[in-house]
Amino acid sequence: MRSRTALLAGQTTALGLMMAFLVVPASALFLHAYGASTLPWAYLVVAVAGVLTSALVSRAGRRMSLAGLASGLISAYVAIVGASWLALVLWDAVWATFVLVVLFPLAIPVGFVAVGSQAVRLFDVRELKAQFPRVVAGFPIGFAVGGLVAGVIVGVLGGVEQLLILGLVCGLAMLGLVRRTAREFPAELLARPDPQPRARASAGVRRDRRTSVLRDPLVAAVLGYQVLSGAVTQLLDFVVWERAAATFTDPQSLARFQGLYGSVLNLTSILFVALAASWLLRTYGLRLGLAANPALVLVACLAMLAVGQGSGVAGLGFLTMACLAQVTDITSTDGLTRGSVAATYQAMPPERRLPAQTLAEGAGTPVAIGLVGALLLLMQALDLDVIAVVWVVLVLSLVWLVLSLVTYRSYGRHLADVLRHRTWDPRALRVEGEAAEEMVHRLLGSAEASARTTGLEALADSGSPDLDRELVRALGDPDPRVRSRALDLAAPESLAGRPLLRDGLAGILGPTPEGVRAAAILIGRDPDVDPHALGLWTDALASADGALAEAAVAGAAMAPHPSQLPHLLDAAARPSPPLGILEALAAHADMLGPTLTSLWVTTADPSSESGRQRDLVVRAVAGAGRSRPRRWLLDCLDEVGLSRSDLRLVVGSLAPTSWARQPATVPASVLAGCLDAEAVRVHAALVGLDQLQSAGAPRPGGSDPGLDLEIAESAFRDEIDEARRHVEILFGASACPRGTAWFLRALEGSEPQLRATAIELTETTLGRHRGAITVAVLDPTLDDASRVDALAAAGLGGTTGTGDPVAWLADVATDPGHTWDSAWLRASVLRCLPRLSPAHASRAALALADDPDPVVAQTAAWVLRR
Amino acid sequence: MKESDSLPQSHPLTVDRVALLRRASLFATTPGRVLAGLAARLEEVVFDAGDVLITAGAVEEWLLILVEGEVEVVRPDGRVRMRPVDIIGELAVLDPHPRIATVVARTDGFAFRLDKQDFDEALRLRPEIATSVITALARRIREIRELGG
Repeated sequence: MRSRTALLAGQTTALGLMMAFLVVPASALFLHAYGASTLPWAYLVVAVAGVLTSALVSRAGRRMSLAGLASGLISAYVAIVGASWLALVLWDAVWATFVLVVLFPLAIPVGFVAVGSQAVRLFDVRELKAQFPRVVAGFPIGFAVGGLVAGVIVGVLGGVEQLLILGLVCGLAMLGLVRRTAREFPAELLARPDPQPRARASAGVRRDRRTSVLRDPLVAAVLGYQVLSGAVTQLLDFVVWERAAATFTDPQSLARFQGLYGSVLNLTSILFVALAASWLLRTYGLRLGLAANPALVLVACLAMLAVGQGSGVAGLGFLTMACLAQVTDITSTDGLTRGSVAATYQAMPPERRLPAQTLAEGAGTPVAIGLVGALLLLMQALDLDVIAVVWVVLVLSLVWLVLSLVTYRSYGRHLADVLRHRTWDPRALRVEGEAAEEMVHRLLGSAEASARTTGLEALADSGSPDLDRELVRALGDPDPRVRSRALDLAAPESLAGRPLLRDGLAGILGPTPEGVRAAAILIGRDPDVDPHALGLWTDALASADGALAEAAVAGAAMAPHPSQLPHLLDAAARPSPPLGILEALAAHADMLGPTLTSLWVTTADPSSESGRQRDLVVRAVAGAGRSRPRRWLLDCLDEVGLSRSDLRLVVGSLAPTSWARQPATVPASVLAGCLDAEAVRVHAALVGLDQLQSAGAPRPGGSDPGLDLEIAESAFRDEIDEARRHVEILFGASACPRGTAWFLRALEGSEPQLRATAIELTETTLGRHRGAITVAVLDPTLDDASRVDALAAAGLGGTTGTGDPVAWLADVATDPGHTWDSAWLRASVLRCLPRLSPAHASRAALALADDPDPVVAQTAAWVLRR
Repeated sequence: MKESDSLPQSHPLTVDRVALLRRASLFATTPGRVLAGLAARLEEVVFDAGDVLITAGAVEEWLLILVEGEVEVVRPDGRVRMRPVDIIGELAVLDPHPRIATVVARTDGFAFRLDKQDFDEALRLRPEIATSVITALARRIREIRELGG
């Protein structure tokens, strides 16, 4: 780890030196020769050159190893600077400074693409968050030293342009460091990317590839973020250069200012990176990392505007404020923004990382600079002064701040995708063009039932006008699978304006499974519902024929209607309701609000009518997608008096089910209290196991295995298992409603990068504090003692195991504060108390002799009889 | 073989019965509170060495959970010794058919008897038990395959 960080930091230091020895001579000579008003034209050229460079880097990245790519880029830089120096020295060609002024803003992001892409390969996401600020620190160190040296020695070199020679030396040093890093980590840096499936992609395919990367919401958000970051940085840079050129009129004093100011700027950045950035990122995570830069610039702009409005822009006061604003921007960019943006690439599938990084960092910044160039030219044309530029920065920072939050949310969602290794969603087969239509008609006329079904699905996916006609034909198909699929496809849409299909469905009404499902569809989707259909459907639901009852609930699940609800609730109260009742009730979730409210307050035996009804309604509402009753039910999880059985019922229903085809994510804020309580229960039960060991150890020898201690231990283990299962479900409901198996596999840690990403996912979903608690609860690699430590490290207080362990266990048995709310645990702990302390056992048994729970009362009576 | 209504029960407490049940692989992963209802329905069967607990060909809908003692399962293809806490005749409660083996006690001991009706009710009300049953059956299939392979 240390050598990786040192080598990469060495590269960024060299990059910083290169930039200092480039920008100081280039800006001083350029501003002296052409003035700040020419800068916008340079910006426009930067935009064009930047896009071309980005495309070039992206193309090279698909063919070359990372080390090869970085070496090529540095060599090109050295060649351009060397040629410009020769032109300046030999032919006094001042126009060459234009090339260098264009090169400067291009070289920084390209340099960081080179270093950043190496870092992404060499660190996992959590290492990256900790180490990348240190790596980035090399840049301001190099820039500060370079600026200081430039400012001091510019007078003794015999010409400002001689500083470029020092830049060339630093470029060669960086080249050497890249080669050294590659030799140390050849597997990561010298491996060439896998060849593309088609070597000669057409222009259309290339466009599609670029578009497909951009269709990724995270890439789009990061690109937007980078464009705004680049634009704001460039505008602030312009404000400083413009004011500096107006204040310092000869090239040497301008170069001295640029060198010394650059040195101060970067020293501040170094101190921030060294003392605060890494800690801030580790403590507050990526949300702060992405949002801090725009927020700080916003404040700096307000200060600049206050000074500008007060004392005007001509004095040193405004220049000082502009410098402070730029220091704020650069400091937070180096310390927080770069590391955070680099971490977001970890949330992309590996094959998209480099294209996305190249696009966002390589092209995003030049595009921003080009936009800034155009904007400044427009402002010059409108004769607006530098204050107007500050106002523009203020507005852009506001948009940038909002986009940082969007980027963060998208990052969280992408982490789950990376862990699941899901890259593409299945696409519907589209029917476009004559050839495709002919193929579908051939499928519909096939002798194979599966082909006919595929044909129907293709028509439905494409919204074909032939769909209704083919559905009606399929309703009379000899194969029941085709008839069933036709009913599936007929159910989701209204029948209004579709007389052909409505008549087709009415034509098959009857006491058959298909006839009953058709009746349900007519009830749910036909505004002029046929009373015959309703009668047929209700009879089927009440029928002793299981196939008809199942068809009735299946139809109701696909075409819900208020008139079906009372009958479904009656069916739910039966001792053996149809299997599909849950799905049918879930489809009616929006209508279940009043029923849920009245059932929720009843405490009923699960085997009674109302108990069964309550259980099914709660499970259906909790497991269904977004609805008002679901939200109400989830809010109940925070109720102080919520019983354990109701907690089990609601939380258990949030687990992924096959019938909830599109499970809705539950906001983390809704589940926070419940999640904390379950984590506390895990901690307390672990303490209980420890107390049991303390009280019972050494275990009695002989042939008796200690059934009583085994009973109590199992009960504590049950508490831990159940609470862990609840935490898993609650986290899953918030982060990954389709299931958590892949998350737990990642957490097992066979692949460190995946484990780090899994941990990151908990933090982005639940926040740093609850993320740490969740990992401490769920981490399958922890034993009991390590889990207690991890929970304590995550800041979980709760029950502690100090004092007399037997008294502690007696308290668990009587549970005076209803801390455990578990009759089974009380009975189990009471069972082992006589062995540990007959006196405690008797006292506890006396207190529990009349317990309403039969198992507790039975155990208490047994203790008292002894 | 003597049924418990004629004898004092050696494990009358529900918590004890559950602990014994959980020693059986079929119920090892089922939470104790879930097994409590099932434990209350168990019938204790006390036997002496030489008692025939199950007769091949008989159609019965219950299983035995051997808690103490040893029994021998006598099949046409061989004999298998069973010890606590093995489950005997579980296929009868999942798919009732004539017994394929005779089970004879080799020592004194006792077992719990669980009827199909109670088992089915437990499965219906507590799906967690079904998960354990599936796991145990999968394990049994794997063992049979490994023996065969």
